[in-house]
Amino acid sequence: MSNRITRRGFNGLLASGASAAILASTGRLALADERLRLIWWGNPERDKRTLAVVDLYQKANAGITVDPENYAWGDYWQKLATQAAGKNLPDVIQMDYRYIFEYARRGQLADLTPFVGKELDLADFDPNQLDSGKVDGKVYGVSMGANSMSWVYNKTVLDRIGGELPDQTKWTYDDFVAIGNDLKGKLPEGMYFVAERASQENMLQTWVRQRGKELYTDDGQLAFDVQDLEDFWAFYFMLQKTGLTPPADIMAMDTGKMEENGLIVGNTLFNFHHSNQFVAAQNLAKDEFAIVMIPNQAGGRAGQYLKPSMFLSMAANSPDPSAAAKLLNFFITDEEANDILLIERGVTGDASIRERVSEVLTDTEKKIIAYLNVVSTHVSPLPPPPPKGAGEIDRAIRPAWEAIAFGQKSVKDAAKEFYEFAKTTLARA
Amino acid sequence: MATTAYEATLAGRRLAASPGLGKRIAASWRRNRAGYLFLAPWLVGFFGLTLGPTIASLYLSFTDYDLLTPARWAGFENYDYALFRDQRLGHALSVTFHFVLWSVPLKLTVALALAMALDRSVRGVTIYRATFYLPSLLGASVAVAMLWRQIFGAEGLINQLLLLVFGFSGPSWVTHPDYALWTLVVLAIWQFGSPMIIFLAGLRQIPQELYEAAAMDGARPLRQFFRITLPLLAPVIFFNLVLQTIEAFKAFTQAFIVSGGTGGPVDSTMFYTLYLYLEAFANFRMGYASALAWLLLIIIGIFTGIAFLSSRYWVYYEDEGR
Amino acid sequence: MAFVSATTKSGRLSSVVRHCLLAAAAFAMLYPLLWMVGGSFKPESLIFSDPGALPTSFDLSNYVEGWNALRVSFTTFYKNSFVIAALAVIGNLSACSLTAYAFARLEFRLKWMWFALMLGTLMLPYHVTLVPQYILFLKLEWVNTFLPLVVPKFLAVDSFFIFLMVQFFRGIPREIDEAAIMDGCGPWRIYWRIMLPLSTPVMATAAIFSFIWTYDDFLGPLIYLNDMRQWTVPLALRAFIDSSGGESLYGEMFAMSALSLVPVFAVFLAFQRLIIRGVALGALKR
Repeated sequence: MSNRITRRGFNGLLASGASAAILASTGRLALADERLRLIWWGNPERDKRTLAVVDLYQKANAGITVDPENYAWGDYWQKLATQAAGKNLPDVIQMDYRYIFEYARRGQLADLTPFVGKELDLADFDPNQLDSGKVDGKVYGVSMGANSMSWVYNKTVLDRIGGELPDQTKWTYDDFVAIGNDLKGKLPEGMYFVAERASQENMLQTWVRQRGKELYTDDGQLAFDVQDLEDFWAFYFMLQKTGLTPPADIMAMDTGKMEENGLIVGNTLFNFHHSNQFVAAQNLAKDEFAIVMIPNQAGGRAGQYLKPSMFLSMAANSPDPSAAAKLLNFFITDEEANDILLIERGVTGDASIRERVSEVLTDTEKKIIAYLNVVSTHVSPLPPPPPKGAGEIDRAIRPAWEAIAFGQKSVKDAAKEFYEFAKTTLARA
Repeated sequence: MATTAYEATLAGRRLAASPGLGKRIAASWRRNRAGYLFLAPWLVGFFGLTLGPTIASLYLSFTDYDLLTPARWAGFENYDYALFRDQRLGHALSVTFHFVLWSVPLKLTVALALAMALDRSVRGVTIYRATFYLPSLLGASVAVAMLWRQIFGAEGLINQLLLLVFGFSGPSWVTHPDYALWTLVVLAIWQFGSPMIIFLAGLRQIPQELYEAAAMDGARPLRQFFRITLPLLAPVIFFNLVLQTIEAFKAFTQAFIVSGGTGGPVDSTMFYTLYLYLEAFANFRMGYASALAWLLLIIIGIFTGIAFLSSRYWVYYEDEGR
Repeated sequence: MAFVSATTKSGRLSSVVRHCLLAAAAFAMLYPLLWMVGGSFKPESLIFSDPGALPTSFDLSNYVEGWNALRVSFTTFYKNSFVIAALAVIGNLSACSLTAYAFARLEFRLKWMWFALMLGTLMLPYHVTLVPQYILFLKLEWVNTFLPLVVPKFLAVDSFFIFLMVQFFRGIPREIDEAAIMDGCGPWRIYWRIMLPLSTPVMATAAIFSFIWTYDDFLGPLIYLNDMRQWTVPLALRAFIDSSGGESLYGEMFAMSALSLVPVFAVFLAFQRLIIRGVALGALKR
């Protein structure tokens, strides 16, 4: 179990694992006396790795067959909601930070607390990351990896035009704007300094946290003032007016998909990404990217936090919770399994595993680890869990901001309206 | 509805051919039996597969149902909210009406014009037909969203043409609140393949001798079109009109794909069904979404009803005699 | 018929103009395909950062790798798609034409009510019946099989085709079947010997749409199929892209998308001949 594997060996393992998984599940009826269903969203790369782990698990546990189901992100939630409505959720489920609260509070997920210390070996697991999977004090998901918000920038272009960045843990929005104004004239044709991020919930969250507030209180009320929102939007409106961000209609081309991102299509120098998206972004571009922290507001209170990139959860209706917990544990703590998974889903909270995998990473992946090491020295505690209705409020930020950006409403009016909308939505939920 | 119209003619026929009572009952039994035998597969499907889920959705429209926990009875709360308090719904409805009123007539006109242009033995006509059907094959794949940005984006095909011809270029049409809906209307028109094929099949049912006779009488093409093509094609035009209207009211995929599921910018492409979908699967309000669905059914039903009533005056069927 | 009797005067000119117009329109239609095929030859790092239609080099690796990029190869996906689409064509043609014949030609009690209900099923947005339907098929234990995708077609649940066929059947002069009744034909023989043969254009149209729509359908397979070995082509195409920000295979997606158009295009070409051949029968019938 402890022999280190090289990348080449790992690829071979992937190939054999994937095909063996198919073979194993083809001839399954003859052998298996126990079946577990596992569902996740992702891409072909993640699918291969996950299946190789599934195969490993089946080899180590004769008599257990794991039926994999996997979908693209956009399709996953409709499939999952339908399965949930039919009380037919798979035993082990990949969960997202937003949805885990929706599913847990509505009784679809199993409380994992009874399994901790038994089937689930979380002795080595970062307690902060473990807390991120708690809903109302119970563990409903084990984090698959830490993640944080970041500015990703086009290093090739920045170096070419001679831009320099100050210490990323200390820089402020004032520094940021000054750099932008300085570089504005030097940028390539059609490239703007930074992407507008006024329509993104997590940027608003960082903004209010930098002011010592939160989006929501523990009991699910708004925990910031309308003035905070107004300042936030006023800042981005100023960026748009001074030409540091692209015009509204160009910005609206970005609906959050990787291929629409300004870094990829080349219309912004700086852009927002979660740190675990860095590899995917880099793959789609010729230029070299680098990753830094979100600037501070005056006062320097940290706004970022280490956020779980995704969880593994268990369905409340799982017929054999103990077996499901064992499978879940295998993904989190098994060394061989993590030699395959590496940090594709995020940087794991298991200390020994993190140390083990960090030695076989690519340069791009190493940048993520280095970034998270910096961020972890400059974070504030996890925010309270989002209440019901938070998702709806999140989606409403975009049209509200766009009304400002396209000149249909003033910042003040839009902020006031949105604030009222958020309050009524929380009341309705 | 025109069904009642032709039901009436059928009833007329029945009365006209009425011998003795016993024979009539026997004949009526035979007719009913034959009718229901042919209808049997559909009836099984209707009662076995369609009716249950439909009634379930009607029931759910009177409940508070979040998909994840059991539904709770809510009376008329959902309908009350939709009809009197939901401002976004009013907006979604106006976007949808706008879309229906523009896209349906334009799409049908283009489809009919091209069907007639392709209903000839021009050399290479097979290739043209296939090419014109191509956009409809693409349907709603991921590639369409990307493509639409290639054409209507800031540096897209349209703006490059504008720059070339007029020396200026426009905004990013597909993501500007004043124009985004129009790009979806264009997209709908561009995918005119299905009605075109149906028109083509309809044109092929019109006997060529009629045109030959008319040409011999010296009727010009325009006259032939109004005297032969339009009247004989009326049932097919009617079909396309009704179906395209229903489809346009239910339009979802294009808006979903092109706006990245947001209905943006500033809700300018927030179609009724897109709003319904977001309520159901993003905001976990399936009960409310079901109510929205039934309201839409009523709206579509009214439009379809009007179409059927009007069809008495402009749609003639071969089986009615003329 | 703007172009019809152009054979007399200035026939050549009008023919040239017509060809030019058609060719220009055809290019507008073809642009997406060119763009997609163009993208399929590019390496990942160039698809979005260099978005012209024409690739600078022709690299086939996206096709080769795309075919086996998922844990199940596209051979299986195509096989599944063809099986489902072919069954859907058979089901729709047989079941819908029976129903349409009943509505168009037979007289029976409550006909108008059934007809209205049949049309009504077209009007309800499918998103709200999705979950109840899933629960129904789950109870029947049909989930994770092709049955939910195929059986409904044999029970004529697609009102579009019924209504379409009704409209065309009613375009066939009633004298023809009245003559057949005189000769002692029952409804079945009229349906089989007269209606179907005289309806080649609409049957071909229905076959094209059935095939293409089933082949393109994505939501049904997404909801009802779990096991990747049962997936259809469109479901597989979605698996290339992770819009949540993981690594995606865009080049392979473009390559496989372009390839996936080939069968539907072939089906279209094959069946459109039948639509055209309808003219001979149309001439015969009077």
